[in-house]
Amino acid sequence: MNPAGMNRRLIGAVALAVGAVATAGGVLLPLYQETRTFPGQNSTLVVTAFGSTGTGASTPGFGVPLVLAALLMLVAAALVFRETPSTPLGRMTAIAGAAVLLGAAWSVYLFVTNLSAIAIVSVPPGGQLVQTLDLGLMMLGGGWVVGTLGAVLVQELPEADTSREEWRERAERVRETVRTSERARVPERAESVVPDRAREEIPVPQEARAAERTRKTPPATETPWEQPKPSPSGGKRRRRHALRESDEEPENDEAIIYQLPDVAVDDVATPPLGYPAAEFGPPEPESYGFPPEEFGPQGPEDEPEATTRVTLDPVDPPGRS
Amino acid sequence: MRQRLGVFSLLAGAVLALVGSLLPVYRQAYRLAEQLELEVTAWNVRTITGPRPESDEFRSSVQYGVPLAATAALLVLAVLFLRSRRFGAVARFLAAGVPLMLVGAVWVVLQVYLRLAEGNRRVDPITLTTPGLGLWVLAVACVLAVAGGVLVQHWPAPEPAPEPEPEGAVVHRLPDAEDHEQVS
Repeated sequence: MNPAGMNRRLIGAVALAVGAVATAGGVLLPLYQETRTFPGQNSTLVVTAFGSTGTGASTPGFGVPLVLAALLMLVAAALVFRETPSTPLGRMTAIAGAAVLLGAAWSVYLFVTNLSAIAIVSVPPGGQLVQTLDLGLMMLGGGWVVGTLGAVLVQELPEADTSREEWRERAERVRETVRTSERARVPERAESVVPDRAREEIPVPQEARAAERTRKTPPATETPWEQPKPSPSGGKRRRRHALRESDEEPENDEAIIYQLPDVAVDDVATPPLGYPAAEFGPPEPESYGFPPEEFGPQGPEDEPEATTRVTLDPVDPPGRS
Repeated sequence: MRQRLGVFSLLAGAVLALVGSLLPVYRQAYRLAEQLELEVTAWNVRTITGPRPESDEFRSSVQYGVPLAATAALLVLAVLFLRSRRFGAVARFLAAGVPLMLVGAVWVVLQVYLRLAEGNRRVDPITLTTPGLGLWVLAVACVLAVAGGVLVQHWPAPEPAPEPEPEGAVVHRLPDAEDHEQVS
């Protein structure tokens, strides 16, 4: 902790100790005194936190919660005086002590003022009543103020200015990162969507086949208007492509099969001889080369006579339904 | 989850503190020449049976409800600002302290009741004091508020458990997995 924070903590600890002592004094000293000089009656009443003495003395003992509050504040002062592992516990104890003191002392104050209000209205004509809200109440109130001040001072206050600076710095860094990555991504992304657009124009399957062939040639020669240009509308273009991509039907007449080494391939059907259909053009024998030779023999299904046993409806090739 | 439970407890404590201050804290029956029964809440004294007391002694009563209502308001305030980035620390400070303030206030009311109930132990008591529903409601409010105040604090996180060793086959998902369905 920085020196300022340490000073603050020490001042808070001292304030807690002072508050505890003041509360203890308030518990011991009288809270309220009254002297009645009525015709035919002279009496005094002294109310303390542990009860009352004198005529009509029947006040409850408020000592226990007040003493508990004073003890909590004293313990908190001892715990936060040095920076130890138990300092967080001391901080909580400080809050607890000040809070219990506030609740109890407030209610005691209300009780005592009510007592004095009752006494005033019970004065008979010709009688004299001298009331004193005594030192004990003042000490309880002062103890609460000082103790609460201490409880606030020993907390770990967030240092607002530095943290805000730090946040601004971090936000600026993130913004910079986003900007540079956008700049780097734009050309590469535009290039990658060009073949998609070319494929999308062709509606019928025969032409799709033709489009597949043209795709192998560099797209720059046939679709010059689709060149990625570093224009301000690049973002819009990209978004449009992204939308089209999702709408596009997944049409693929050349299957891409990834085979993992330890996966059973029994259910991967070898395309029958009638597939692709005649209208798709001359069959390309190299597309049937599954599994590839480098994978070696794959089982009895790969034997020639096993392949001939497979009979499937050529109109409804597997995977199309 | 813990935070949500704490917020719920704090709010329940605030509501119960208000409700408890409106309910009778204790009842007093005076065995005088004429029957007199009183109901004392944190705000006023009500006559149940007997003549309406002329003396101001009955009309004026200790306003224990003031600190109780203040406590409820502060609890709600703490809950409202708990998620705030700027005032979150203050809200947690309040959430830790205000329930104990409620405890202190209710404790004093309890002490007053206990002192009055002492009279019941005499052989021939003039007054008979019985606890009211408000006392129990306030006690429950204290428990709930303290629990909520503890739950919403930021405790240091416990030591993270070591990552469990992955078991079974390593499965890689390929980026265009949909294409497989076309063939198989």
